[in-house]
Amino acid sequence: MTHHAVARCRRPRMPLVLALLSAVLICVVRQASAQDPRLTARLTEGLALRITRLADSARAAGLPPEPLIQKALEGESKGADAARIEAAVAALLGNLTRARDALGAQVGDEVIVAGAQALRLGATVTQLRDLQALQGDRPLVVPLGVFTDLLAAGVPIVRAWQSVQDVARHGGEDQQFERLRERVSPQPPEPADRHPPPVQP
Amino acid sequence: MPDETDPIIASIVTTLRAPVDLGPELERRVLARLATQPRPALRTRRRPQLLAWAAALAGLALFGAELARHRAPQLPVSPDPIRTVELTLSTNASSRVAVVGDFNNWDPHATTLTRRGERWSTTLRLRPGRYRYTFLVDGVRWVADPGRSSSADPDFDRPTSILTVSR
Repeated sequence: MTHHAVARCRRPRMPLVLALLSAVLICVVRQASAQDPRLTARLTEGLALRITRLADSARAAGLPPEPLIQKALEGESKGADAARIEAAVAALLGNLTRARDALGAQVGDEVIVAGAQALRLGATVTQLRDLQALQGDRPLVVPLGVFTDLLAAGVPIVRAWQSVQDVARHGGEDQQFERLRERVSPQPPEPADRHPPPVQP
Repeated sequence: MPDETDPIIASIVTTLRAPVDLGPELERRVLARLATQPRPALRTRRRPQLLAWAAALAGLALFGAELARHRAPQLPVSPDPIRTVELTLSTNASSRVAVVGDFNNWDPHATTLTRRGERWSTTLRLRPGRYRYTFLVDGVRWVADPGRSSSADPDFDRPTSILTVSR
């Protein structure tokens, strides 16, 4: 082979090497960043991958992935098996989707998460929509959170819904909803950095 | 090399070296055939090289895009104030009480309670929000917080308490 022939053969190697290197780097970046280290540290490789896919689906749909990560970690901490953890995370993704579809994407992650938790405890999509309509321009996160807490505390859904609906219909503020919660909850200890409210005459 | 001093070999070589007249007809036919063949692109030899460079540039561009896509998101700093919340549990635990919840990635080693007699307690610094949590006594017993509302956990069948930190 002449010198020129050798040079001709060698020339395309550099870009090819660059292209291959880029492909390898893309794979490395995807692999490293796609997996949440909290999942890979505590779940089996297969389960971490499946939860990551569910979290990716949530992200792609504009839903917050963090509740799904927390649900998986909760399952691992509580000693649940892989199938149960995956089922719980998939169910939560379904409820997040239903809550977002019912309330609209503009309400924010906190409201969508509260809506998903309410749905998990037996609330209906219609109730979420009705509560949103009753609240109008007022914030939804506290009423929805209180509704969820009442359900979590074991208050029958009809009673919980009527109580929350009544306060919303009367244009109740967040404090009024929170009082509703306090009526069914054990009295929590006062936060260390908060002064007790003044006694009303 | 053939031995051209040998008369027989020399004769053969002379014969073979003599120009062969193929005649004008053959030349015409060859040219006619060439004319019907598709003309090769002038840059044929360069095409693999160009393709390789294009692949390299596309690869680098994709890598850059991938890097940007996966860069750690800059989380907005929450304007909500951090609240201090004390969690307590009266129990006859023999060695250790931990609290696990949404605020510590449900990590049994992250937050342990301090013992004073039979009363165990810890102080958390949390932003306003709704948190789910439970106590883990001696690493084996799951106990809901008797001081706050609790619910059965339909997902994992363990008692879970609800902590709401107000704004």
